[in-house]
Amino acid sequence: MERVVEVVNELGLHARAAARLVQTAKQFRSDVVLRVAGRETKARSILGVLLLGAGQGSRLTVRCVGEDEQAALAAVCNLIETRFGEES
Amino acid sequence: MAVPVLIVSHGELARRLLDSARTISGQDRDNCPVPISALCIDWRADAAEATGLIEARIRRLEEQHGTGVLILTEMFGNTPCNSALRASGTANAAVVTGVNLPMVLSLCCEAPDLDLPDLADWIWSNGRRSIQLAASGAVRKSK
Repeated sequence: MERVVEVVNELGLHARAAARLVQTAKQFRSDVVLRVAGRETKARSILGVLLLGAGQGSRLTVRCVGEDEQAALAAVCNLIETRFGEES
Repeated sequence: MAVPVLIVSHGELARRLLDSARTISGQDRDNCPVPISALCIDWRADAAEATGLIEARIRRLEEQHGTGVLILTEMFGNTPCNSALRASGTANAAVVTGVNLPMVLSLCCEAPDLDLPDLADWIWSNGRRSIQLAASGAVRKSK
């Protein structure tokens, strides 16, 4: 299952946000894959996530496959939509 | 069991790299799944002294973990690297040079469950992948 979410925080997928995303994805058994503008990476790879270069306004496709895919998709999308806990 | 990682440098670089990676990843010494430590070698230390320090650290890590040690050094050819290579000759240790922040960060964030040779390959690959010509800076003049 997959969903498209917009990166809304001002700094986009910067290092600390990317680290939080990796740690969230690692809490689940499902494979989590991120795709933006033709680039794709496993969400467990911090370098892969950083090299997506997803800035504010990017539309990110989050795809989760596995036994807990629904919970994984909800958690990852929620993290992105709530600005990774950042103020802006 | 996780393979311990030892970052070795002249001066404070090793410790600063580890501090930065821990700040970004939110992992401190206690909750980081990979045991990573730093060994900062004094600029005035000679090769024999540096080798002795690295050998002692490898011995301690081997006693604690028994899975070999992955050593990351700042630069091929300098004293910390040459000393690490000398120390690795008598121990179960791999040496990867050119350590950078993305390499240490990837260890903190991903903690791959790999044995020593595969972990060395993985971190070497991450290091190369982490270096990008992100902006060339060249404004070409049209003729």
